Amino acid sequence: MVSIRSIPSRPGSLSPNDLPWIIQHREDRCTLCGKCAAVCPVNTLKLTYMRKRMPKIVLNSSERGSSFKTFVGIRQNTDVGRRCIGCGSCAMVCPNEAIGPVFNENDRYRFQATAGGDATKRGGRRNEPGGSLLDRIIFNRISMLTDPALDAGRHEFAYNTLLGRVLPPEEYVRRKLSGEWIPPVREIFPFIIGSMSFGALSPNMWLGLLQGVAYCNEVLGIPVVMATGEGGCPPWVLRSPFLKYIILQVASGYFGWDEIIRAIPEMQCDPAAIEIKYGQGAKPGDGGLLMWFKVSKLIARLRGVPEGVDLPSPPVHQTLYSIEESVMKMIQSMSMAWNFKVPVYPKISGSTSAKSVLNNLVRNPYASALMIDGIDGGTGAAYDISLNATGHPIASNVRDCYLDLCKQGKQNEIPIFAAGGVGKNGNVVQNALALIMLGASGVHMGKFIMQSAAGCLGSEKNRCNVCNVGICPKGITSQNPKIYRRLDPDDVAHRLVETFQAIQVEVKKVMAPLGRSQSLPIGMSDALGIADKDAADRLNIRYVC
Amino acid sequence: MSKKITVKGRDENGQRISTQIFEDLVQKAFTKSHDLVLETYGQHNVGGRLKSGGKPVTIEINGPCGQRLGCMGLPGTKIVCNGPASDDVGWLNIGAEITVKGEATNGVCNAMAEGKVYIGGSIGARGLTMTKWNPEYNKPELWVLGSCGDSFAEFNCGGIAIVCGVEAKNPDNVLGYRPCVGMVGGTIYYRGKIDGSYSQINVKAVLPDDEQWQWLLDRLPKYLENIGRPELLAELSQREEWAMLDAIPPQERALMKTGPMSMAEFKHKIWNPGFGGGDPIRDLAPGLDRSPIGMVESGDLRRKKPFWANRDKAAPCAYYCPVHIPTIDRLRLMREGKGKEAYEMLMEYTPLPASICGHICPNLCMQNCSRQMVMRRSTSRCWVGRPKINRLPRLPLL
Ligand code: SF4
Ligand code: SF4
Ligand code: SF4
Repeated sequence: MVSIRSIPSRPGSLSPNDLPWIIQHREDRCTLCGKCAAVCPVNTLKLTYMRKRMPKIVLNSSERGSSFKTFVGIRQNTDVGRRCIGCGSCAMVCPNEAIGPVFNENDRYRFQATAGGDATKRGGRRNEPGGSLLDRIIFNRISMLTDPALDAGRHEFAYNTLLGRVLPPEEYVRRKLSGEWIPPVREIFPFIIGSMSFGALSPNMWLGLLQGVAYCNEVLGIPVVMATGEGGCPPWVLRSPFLKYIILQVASGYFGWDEIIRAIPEMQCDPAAIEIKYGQGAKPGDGGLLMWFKVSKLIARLRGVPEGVDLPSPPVHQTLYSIEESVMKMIQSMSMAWNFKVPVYPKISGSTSAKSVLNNLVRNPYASALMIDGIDGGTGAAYDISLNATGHPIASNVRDCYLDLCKQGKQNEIPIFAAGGVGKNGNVVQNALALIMLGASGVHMGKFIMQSAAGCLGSEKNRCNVCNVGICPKGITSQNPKIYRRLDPDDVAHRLVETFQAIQVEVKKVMAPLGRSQSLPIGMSDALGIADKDAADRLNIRYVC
Repeated sequence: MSKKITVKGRDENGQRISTQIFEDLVQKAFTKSHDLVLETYGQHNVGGRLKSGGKPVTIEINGPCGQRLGCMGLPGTKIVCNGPASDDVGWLNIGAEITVKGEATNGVCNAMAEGKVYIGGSIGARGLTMTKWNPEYNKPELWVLGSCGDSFAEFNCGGIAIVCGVEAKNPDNVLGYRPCVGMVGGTIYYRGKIDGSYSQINVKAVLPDDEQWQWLLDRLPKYLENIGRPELLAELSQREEWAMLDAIPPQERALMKTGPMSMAEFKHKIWNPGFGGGDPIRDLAPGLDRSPIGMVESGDLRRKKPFWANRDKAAPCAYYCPVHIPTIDRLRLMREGKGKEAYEMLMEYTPLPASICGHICPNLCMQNCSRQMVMRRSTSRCWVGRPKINRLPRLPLL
């Protein structure tokens, strides 16, 4: 019982009903085992004892009094820093289905989240619940009697894509005959695992992904590649035969590049490609920061830094001053590092200026592709304002770039890769094929893979999304072995393989009715429709209703 | 009715007559005779729909025949085409015996449910596809002297094919590319080379057993005689030259391993050897244990130790009781002389009836009693409900 005292209400006071997630605890089921409190990543659960007063009134006598009862229960902490994040770990471990978070539409937390004077940050996603634009694009051009129908279960489909500069046929022949250099081109599966670094991801997660990727390639023959993100690659991996499935990233922090350069002479194979990161869709113009508590001994050794220090990647490369120079210096140097045998391409955040970058790349003989990351992309850590409101949606960005290439007659020469929200509501193949038919040659996906292969708990309702603070309840984005050992790399690999097998089936299920089996339908926008006139006009696709 | 009647596919001017008019002429001739010679000139759907009430019908085809020869053929009809045939021979056939002495093109026996088709040469793509078999009737049969084109026996359901590989169009691959996709029933006898591209989840490669071999031997002579090649009997009767693709029943398919390799096997054979046979980060973090653990662990792996702070405030006897018996209330009731009520209250908490609880419990209430230091004996066992005791035990004073 709370004694009679004044209960203060300060501006920052919150009640459980003001929080984005409210704990529902059923005392009738709870056996007080304490597992929920032991697992809660933010320590929001308080195991409490409470005293209850029961007035004792006997009507036909003058007896009066109170009896007191003490009981135990679970309460929710209302501190801003210890609010429930809705991860649902408590529900996962509760043996009695006695506890779980419930989303609250009416949270007032958002107005108090600035306690301490910093703007709010989180990991994860943009938090835009509901169907995305990509979820609304459907495939309308069904081939039935007008052209031969295909059977997804029976016919063979070619749906790999090309990463690399494809020369015009006459130029290819000329160079071939004269023995000149021909730009490297990789044939890969168009669903690429987007760049997530060893560091942002736990070792079990990162290696589990690579193990699954290797399985897809070596056992199933699906040429899946994964991008590493900035932060290097374990030396054994650099010297392994699996390097060819990895797109190495160089970003403004250059983390891990000393190990990579050291390993080049000993590499058994070349990496799939080199990605030069100029920007990220989730936080354009903002750099990366690996917080000190994620810089474990292992990460420190991998990145070539001392343990437990903050590792900032600045928003810009310090020594690059103009697009021409960036393209010259970075693309040429990275190409040269592997004797011009590895495709090198830049990654930029979605932007109205993407076309200018693309046009510059068209003129650069070493540029292999352009990767555009839209506003719905994920991140390990970013300010809310960057995640929510900075950047460009991917669909029209890719579309504009592709149509621009078409005008120049170069659409088959330099591939555009798209990312940012692909599969954010689970419709990964629908989203990816929509982008591909709008003109992308393939997509990168990060969050979807985390959710599908590793069971990431994040959602567009800001569920979990604490990837930035090293307490990932699933062990995906933590460097604490007591947490990341929850994730079995074999399970990750297994789920990854299942995911790609299912993606393959779905790709065929879309391509078959389109009557397309011999190549990925890049730019086949006559097959697309949307029940939104403005979007249809903007994307130059059919309005259907 | 036995006089042969000839129906011509060209009019007096030598012009082709349409399929519709030709069919009309054939049906008219059929009312007069069940023994017809059709001099076709590319007319389609010839030889089907001749209702004889089961009496034998003989149709001989001379001249170029159109598509779907013998389509919707009925039992009792026997069609012999002296030359080659075009697409879809025996389409939707439900019982006719169709012999084509030459080759046939695509779609032979598509959707056929019963009857026999004998081909004296090779066939094109998609032969024996989408066949049906109603167990009330006989299985459809397709005999091919040479080889088959691609996509053979797709969705075959009960059809039996015999592919002899003699003078084959494609001697290196007598069943064509990717046969048997979606095949759920039936069987294929073949003789000669195949490329192994058959659908492994639908059919398995076997050798004919005695019964199956006898089945083939029994029927070979008739087939060879029909296509006019009896001299091949000895050559085709070498059992060791024959092999089969047999449909995998669904029960068996459900037990088949889904993936080509287990993750454990992959790890052992491919993954670990890729890093010189060990953990890929053993050099970065020597001795790091990355093996999987649960969400809530104990011992060294424990992250948090939750406790209910009421331990600090509750009466120790009640708190430490494993079943949370409110001992204070119990003692109060007993002090008030309400032994029966105290006993009843106890029974609401303890899972052990009668006096067992008191006998097996290590007395945690007593051990944790905070008055231990004050009094020599805190509380003690008391006997409630025993008839011999007619007075209440002495209780410690509080
Ligand atoms: S949902 Fe997650 S954050 Fe909320 S109480 Fe449960 S474990 Fe803690
Ligand atoms: S895990 Fe479930 S049963 Fe255990 S204390 Fe929490 S709510 Fe109660
Ligand atoms: S489960 Fe881990 S990776 Fe997923 S949102 Fe939560 S903290 Fe981030």
